Amino acid sequence: MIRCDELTKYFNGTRALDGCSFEISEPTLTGVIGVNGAGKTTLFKSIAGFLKPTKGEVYILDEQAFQNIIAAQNVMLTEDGMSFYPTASLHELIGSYSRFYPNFDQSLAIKLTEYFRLEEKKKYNELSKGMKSTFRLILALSARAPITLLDEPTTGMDPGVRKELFELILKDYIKVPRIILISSHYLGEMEELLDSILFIHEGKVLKHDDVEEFQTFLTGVQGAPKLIESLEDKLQIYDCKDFGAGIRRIIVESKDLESLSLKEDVMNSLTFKGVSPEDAFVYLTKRKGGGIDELYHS
Amino acid sequence: MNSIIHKDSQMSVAFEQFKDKLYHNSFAFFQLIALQALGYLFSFSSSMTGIGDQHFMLSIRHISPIPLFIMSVIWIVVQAFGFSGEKRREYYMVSNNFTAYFSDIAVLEIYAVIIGITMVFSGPMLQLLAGLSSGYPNLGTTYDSMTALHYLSLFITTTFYALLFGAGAYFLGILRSRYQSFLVIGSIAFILLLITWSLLGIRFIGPGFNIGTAGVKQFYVQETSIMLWLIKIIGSLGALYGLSWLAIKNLEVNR
Repeated sequence: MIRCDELTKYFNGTRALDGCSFEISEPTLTGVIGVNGAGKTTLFKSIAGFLKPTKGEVYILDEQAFQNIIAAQNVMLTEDGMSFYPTASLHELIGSYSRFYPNFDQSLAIKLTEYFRLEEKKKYNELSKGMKSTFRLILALSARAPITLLDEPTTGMDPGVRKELFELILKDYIKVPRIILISSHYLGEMEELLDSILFIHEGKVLKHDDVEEFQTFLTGVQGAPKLIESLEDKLQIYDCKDFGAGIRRIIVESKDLESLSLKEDVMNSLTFKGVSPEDAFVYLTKRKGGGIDELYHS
Repeated sequence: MNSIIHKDSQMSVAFEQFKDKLYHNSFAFFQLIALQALGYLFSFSSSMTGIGDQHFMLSIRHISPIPLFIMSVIWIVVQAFGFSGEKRREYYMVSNNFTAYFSDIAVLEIYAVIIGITMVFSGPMLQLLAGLSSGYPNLGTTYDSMTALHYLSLFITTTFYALLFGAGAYFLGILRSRYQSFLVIGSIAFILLLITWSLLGIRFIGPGFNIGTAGVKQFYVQETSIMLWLIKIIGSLGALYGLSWLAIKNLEVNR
């Protein structure tokens, strides 16, 4: 249902997306992960048909997405910059959305509005930042569009509400399976509800895989500094840290480590630790050459 | 159960948008009423004479619907600018450039018809107000001799003129949305083009060559044949709508 072929987008000479290619054809809950400015919002807007690719193409239901009415009817995008009629109450906005999205579940939208204590008579601009995010998410889930794009859906929310909303997304997805793409900085919190992760860095798709694959993608190897240093030449190192005089830890790709086929005595003198997808995300996006430490010690 | 895929036509989406825009912009009609009320005040050409603050006399010389029409035109221009400038919100609610454009134009047509209707009723209303406020019931006797055909032509002309102003404002608004800062450069280029055209016109046609606002006004207002007038107006509307479509066609939603 979603296919990106070498999708590239420039804004006034600045590259936002750089040859992104991926495909999602089955209902899945996919987390779109990347640092600020990685190109997540540009990707979402391109899928929604808002932006015209500079190069490459986005296909929704096998049709080019840009300004395509079929794509528009089957894609629901919510983001922070979304705007609404300023004079309309929440109740009126729910009414409007229900007329445009044929699958819209109005009773669910009203129930959720009541549950999250949003006054239906209020106008969108009168809501707090967190309440605005909640309302946008209510609209997005109630629309029940075959493709739902949630760009930073939990912006401004406190942890309690955030947890409830992630639970809500999962429950709604189980009830009506569809393609849901969520971009969020809280990978740790939403990790357990995701099927797959689309990892974007500097406008490129670095990795698109199942969550399980991300959970085992990197491994922490800890041991005596000399032994660890002997491995460093043979492996791609994502992070390296010394813990006192006798312990050094490196982060490496699990498959690279397996390919070394280390002897049993070496294996026994090392400690291996799994790396969570959230930490993997940090290591994979880490700047080359130094970091905050270097700023303070230079 | 999976989510159902829908493939409705552009026209059905555009019609839904048209209804939605009318509904969410219903407050605009109150703005029109307020502006027209102000227009009624200016429609009485009067003078006040008196000594000090005790004795004064209000005398109404004549009544004219022109200020009323000007207020209505201001209203439709503001609405058209609003439609062309605030485009983002509709795209989040199923839209593409065609449906957004089509529904905007349809709403502006309705607005122009409303202006036409209110202008038809402005004559009797002005007479009534003149009679009530100053005891001059015979003011505006021109309205007494108006036939149904006159009222029909008043309706058609005011509707089309309102549409023309609305379409012009919509076109400028779309240009502003699409090209933003380039609009300033474009405007300067357009002025330079006009100056060059004027210089060439004077050089080759003579000093009588005139492309000023007076010439434009003359082109649209002074016409004896109704058919020619209609061709001019509809042609101009078509050109403005066509240019607006060309400007909105590949507009991206990214602000």
